[in-house]
This record gives sequence, structure tokens and C-alpha cells, in this order.
Amino acid sequence: MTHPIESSTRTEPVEQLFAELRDRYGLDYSGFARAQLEHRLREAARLEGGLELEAYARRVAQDEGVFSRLQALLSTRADSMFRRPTFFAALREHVVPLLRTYPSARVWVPACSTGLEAYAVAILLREAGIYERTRIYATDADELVLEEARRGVYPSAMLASAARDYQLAGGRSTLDEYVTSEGDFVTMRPVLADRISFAQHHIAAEPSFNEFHLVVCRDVLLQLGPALHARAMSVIDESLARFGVLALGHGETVRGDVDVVSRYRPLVPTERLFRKVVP
Amino acid sequence: MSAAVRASAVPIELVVVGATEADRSSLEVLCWGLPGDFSLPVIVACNGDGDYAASLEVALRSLCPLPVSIAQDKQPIAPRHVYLCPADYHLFVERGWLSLGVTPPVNHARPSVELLFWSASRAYGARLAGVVLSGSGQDGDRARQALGDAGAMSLCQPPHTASEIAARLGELCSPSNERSR
Repeated sequence: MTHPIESSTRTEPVEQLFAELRDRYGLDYSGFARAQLEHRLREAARLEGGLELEAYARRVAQDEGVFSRLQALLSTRADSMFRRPTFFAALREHVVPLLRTYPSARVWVPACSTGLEAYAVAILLREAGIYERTRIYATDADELVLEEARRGVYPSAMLASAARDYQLAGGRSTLDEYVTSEGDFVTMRPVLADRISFAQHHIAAEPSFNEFHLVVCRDVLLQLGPALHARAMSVIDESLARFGVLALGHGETVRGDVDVVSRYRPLVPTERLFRKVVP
Repeated sequence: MSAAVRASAVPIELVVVGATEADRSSLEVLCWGLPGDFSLPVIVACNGDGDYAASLEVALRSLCPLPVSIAQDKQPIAPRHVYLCPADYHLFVERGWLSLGVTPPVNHARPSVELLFWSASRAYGARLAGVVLSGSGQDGDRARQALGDAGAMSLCQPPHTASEIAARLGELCSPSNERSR
């Protein structure tokens, strides 16, 4: 005889953890996509010596060290540089020619985490010869990951797959040219950060702060629930210039308020590049 | 009777399938064998090299009586539709919609069958049927565990063959079953 476990009883410790984060630390995760957030919390609990969620919720409330490790885990996207090389090839082929037509172009990389996507875009624009008249705004809600992004120091293990993906993306040089190696770490060359402004901005909570010709927002809105996602999408929409380009992850599409969605046309459908079209 | 028979009598609302590239032909048999009036949504996590989901979409579209497409983030779950997890994402099931994630691989896999089954069990409990094909290894074993914990229906290969699984799924939507709802 099986006894179906109702999901409400299973998620109770998660509710407790959410309450701790909100009441004690002022962090509200209630608008996030629930299942993946719960998965991440369970992973975090496992990393604290294999704790059950209930015990973990208590530890988070009592121990600031446990809390700050959780916060770091939730705000870090441990992804590779040049994820999905075909995207960068499409960016070079279809978007760079558009950016080239502006005397100065502005690019926004929201929720940039530790900055790898921003550096990858910088390399691409540099090789296209338009970096000098471009400014990249790379923003994140979390000042700690921004500090890491500014330092541009990454584990060298990251470099092997990044170097391969850089070549697949049609890189003109070698990735080694853009980094200096020391021990187990590589550092992005300062010349790459020349045109990047790393700044604090919470895409799900703050309004638009500038107008951009390109917004690279791949796999960022995934972690938000539908309502917060729509809100963040409106901020992106307000921030895109007329006929600007929006880049989403290959598993995403433009979702949000009907009038926002209606303004976007596919530019490169397979790579989820969209053009904002204002009637 | 087989292990597919469950004690609880709640109607099944969702089917999840876990597979790898090695299960290609089983997956084809399974999709081919679904009846034309199959009314449930089916979500497939299948690992393979490169953009394997894109090849699978082409292959399954030509044999499946249901529409087949690659899942998108926050897509509502529609009845009689086969959704494939896109390459290099985890797929989490929420009640009525799909959520993609780029958290690290689980059991060396992304998409992970375990995460798909865990999240689907979390949202649908005993209203879920899970199919684990033989190629999914440790990831599949843990997925089976998630089904068991939730009291969901489990249809696995082995002991069942792909065509038996298709037939059993077909029975879930047969008129006699519909009447009991």
C-alpha cells in the first residue's frame, strides 16, 4: 500500500526557511520559481554537512556564516564563459553590424553574477573592432558578486571549456590572450574591463536606469516566478531603445505583459535574439 | 499483475519520462505506441551530446501522434503534448507550468531525470506517472526513488518493454478509466 505524500506537507520546512530569510535578513524569495529554489536550498543544506531542511532553517537563523554561504550560493551562477557558442556566432553575424551603425552603443548585462557573460561580450565586441565606442553596463543585485566580477579572477579549470567554446564561437584569437594565469587562477586582462561598468541594480525590484541598444539577459529570468519575471521583463522593455536587440537563453522566450510581448520580433529565432519593434 | 498497478485510485494528470541517448529506439517505440486519443501531457528528459533535444524533436515528431516540442521556460503545460527538455537545462515541473534552470548538473546530468521526477512528484504527487528507460543509470535510479516517495505510478524498463509501457499509458486514458474519474 502506498501513501501519497501531499506536496504541502513536504514543503513545510521550506516555508519556514523563507520566513527566516524574510524576517531576519529582509530577503524576500516569495516571488521566485519555487521548485528550483527549493532544490537550491536542499543543495545548500546538503553542503552544510547533509542537514535536513528543517535543521538547516534553524542554522540559517542562528548562524550568520551559514546564512552568508547561502546568500553567495543563491546569487552565483556557476556557468561557463561562452555558454552556447552558436549564440556568440549569431551575435557577431547579426547584431554587431547593427551596433556598428551607432556612434556609441550601450549594452546591458543584467544579473551578471561574477561577470563571465559581460567579459565574453567584451571580447566579442573588441574583436569586431567596436569596443572603443561601446559601453557595457553589467549589473547585479548583490554587491559581493559584483566585487568578484570587478576583480575578474576565476578558477583556471573554467578556462579549458571556455577556450573550446570561444573557438567554436568563431573567436579570432585564443582566449589565453585575454587572461593572465597564476597558479590555479586566471585573471581577465584589465583592458577588457575598460569599457565595463559594474554596478548594483536589482532587475526584479528597481526601475530602468538607462537606454540600451542591446540587452544580454540569457538564463537570468529563469529563477523568477511568473509575476516577477513579467515585472523584470517590463524593466528590460523600458530599457531597450527602439529597434534594440534582446538576447535570451535558448530555452526562453519573451514573456510578460501582452503589450510588452507584442513589441518583440524574432531576429535569429534559434538563438532567441529578438528585435524590439515599436509600431 | 505488474508493479504498474497502484493502490491509490487518483487519476493520473502528468507523465514524465527519463532517458539518455542510448534509449533512442525505446523512446521512439514509446511515442509511436501512444494512442491517437492520448490526453495527458508527457515531459521527457533525455541526455545526449550537443543539442540532442533538437535531433530528438525531429525524430519523434515524425512518429508520435501527439505534438512534440522543446520546452520553454514558464510554458503552461497543455494536455496531449510531448515536451522535451532543452539541452543543457534542468527542467522543473511546477503545478501547471514548466520552469527551466541552469543550476549545476545533478548525477553528472543536465537535464537531470532525478530533478524532473523530484519536481514533478512535488507538484503532482500520486497524480504522476513516471517512466524510466534503461539507459538513465544512477540518475534514473534516483528518479525512481522520487516516484516511490511520492506514491506516484512507476513504469520502468526493465521489467517492462517500451511497447508495454506505451500500452499501459494508453490504458490510463481509455474510456473505462475516464469513467472512473
